[in-house]
Amino acid sequence: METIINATGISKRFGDHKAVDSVDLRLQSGTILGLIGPNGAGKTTLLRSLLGLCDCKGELDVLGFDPRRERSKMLDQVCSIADTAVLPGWMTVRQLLDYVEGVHPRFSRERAQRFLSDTEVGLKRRIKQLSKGMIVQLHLAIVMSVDARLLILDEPTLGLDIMFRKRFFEQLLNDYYDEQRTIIISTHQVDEVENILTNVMFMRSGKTLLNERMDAISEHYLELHVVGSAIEKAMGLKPIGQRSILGGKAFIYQDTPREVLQELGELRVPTVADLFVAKMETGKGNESGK
Amino acid sequence: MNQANRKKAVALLRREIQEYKNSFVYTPLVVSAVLIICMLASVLLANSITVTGDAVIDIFNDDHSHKGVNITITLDEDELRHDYVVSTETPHSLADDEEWNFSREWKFTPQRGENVAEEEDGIVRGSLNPVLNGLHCLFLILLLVTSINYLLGTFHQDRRDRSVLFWKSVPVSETQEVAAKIAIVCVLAPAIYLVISMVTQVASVFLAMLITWRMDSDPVQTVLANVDFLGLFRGQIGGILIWVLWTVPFYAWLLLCSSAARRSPLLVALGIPVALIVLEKLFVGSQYLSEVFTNHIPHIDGTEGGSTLGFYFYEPQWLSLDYAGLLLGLLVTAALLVATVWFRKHRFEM
Repeated sequence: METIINATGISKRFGDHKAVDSVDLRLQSGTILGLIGPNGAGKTTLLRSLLGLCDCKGELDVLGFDPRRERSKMLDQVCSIADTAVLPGWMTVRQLLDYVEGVHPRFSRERAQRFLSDTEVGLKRRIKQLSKGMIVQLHLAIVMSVDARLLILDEPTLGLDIMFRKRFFEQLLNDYYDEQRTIIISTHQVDEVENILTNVMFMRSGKTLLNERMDAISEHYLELHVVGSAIEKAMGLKPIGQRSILGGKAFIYQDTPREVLQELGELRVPTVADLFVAKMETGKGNESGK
Repeated sequence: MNQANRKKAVALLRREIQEYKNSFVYTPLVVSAVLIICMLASVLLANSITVTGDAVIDIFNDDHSHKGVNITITLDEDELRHDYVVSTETPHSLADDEEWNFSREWKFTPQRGENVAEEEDGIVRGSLNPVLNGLHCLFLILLLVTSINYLLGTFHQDRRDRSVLFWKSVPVSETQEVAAKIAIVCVLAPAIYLVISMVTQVASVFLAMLITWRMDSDPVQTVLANVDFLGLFRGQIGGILIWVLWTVPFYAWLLLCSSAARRSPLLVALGIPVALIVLEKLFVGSQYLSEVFTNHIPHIDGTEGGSTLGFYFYEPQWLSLDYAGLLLGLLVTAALLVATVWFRKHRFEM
């Protein structure tokens, strides 16, 4: 396993606003990291820092390069989709493939055309004539045709319908991912990416709230479904989050012994979405407490 | 430059031409086609003459006006033979009474154009070059307008539609981007316009020959022999070279405005120089900046012997060039391009 990203104390300010506040991130090859947070959490700023698109403080090493100084060299091995609608509308699909083939030493045109042959994206069509879903398919075909070691996707499926979103992540996992590649996905659709993630990171107000391997979540977090009189007892065990369920309540606990909880009700591993909501509520409580 | 870098440079330049093909390819082609079609129509419609055709004929007539219809009068009484040439133009002075002696022997000799050239050896090589330079001027003015439009829009437009995020996701540095854009306006676009201009000029000469042939003149003697193609094209190539070198600070300024302006690059490009000029005038009382700015922007040149349609539309006077000003301009260009790269790196979003 090779270290792909090693970032320590990454901070970025916009005036008085701390967009990213001392974030640490260390990723090995073969990782699929889900970067999850509400709007304004600092996800995009962090990803842009990793891509060398904004100046930031802290130690930063991506594939042996400092993106702030060696961005274009680093991009030989790093691909990104910053937004769903950033492909230049005036270009035809063929012109776009010509361009990427010309500037990217690791791009395979044959591979891109093979991906596109399964879609309705014709080579002669102008990008501005394509639907939003087709533009994403085109962009994904391009990034998947680059033999890159790191792929950064910032809200790649924003505004797409569920069919496109499902297909996007399936294709990413089946046709692109292997143990040599690392993928970072920032998204709001937590439940759609949950099953493909190896790691998850929650952000709020520029800070890291959680940075765990997916298989470590079950070691630290438990969800307890309680009905009847046990609810009060469960609340006394200081859950980090709670929500109503049919006939009772569900509580999420952090580092509480399984033995203590299992006598109160049914135990399960919380979903990333529920854990995210719980962590956000806790983070909000901590912030207001300050 | 290794193969990968060469491939990258070609891809960058091709992308620029593709995006601005209306400005840099179709515009000169359409103008060329319109001019050629107009001249062709003149040929087909007999003596309807286009602007160029008119000028060709005017010059031809200027050179040979005194040879139009010659009337030779031989005086009987004189021992020596005297030939009086009477022009068909309005006479400058009235003839003497003696000249109105109709007892003399009269000989009327209407002459054809080709005979004139042969007899008078009236060929002035290069006399049609100014007409062709006029055509070339039209292309240069178009080149200037399209270059300004390109430079003001190129970085600003991709920031506005956010496609800058895509351009920044591929392994191309900001320096390479800026270099490609300045290469477009300094090398590729002038080369395209120059070639199309030259082709148009050659076509014009050919069509002018057709026109004169239809007017029963010898096209080779009256048109082709009066064009100095070597001098013409040498002048135009030299002119465009020095024009670009002299104008490049202005181009770099426009590119900087395109990469830095949050709203209208045109307003910034005009506003800052005008403000500096006004401040200099108010507080220092001098006009140095306005002279410097004006010198590096193509403009109407009112100097005696100047081309009057902007500087260096024609062959420059190499020995009398202001090389110090040129060098200073190139240094300013380098500084402006460094600033452009900085803004491209740090201010790519609106």
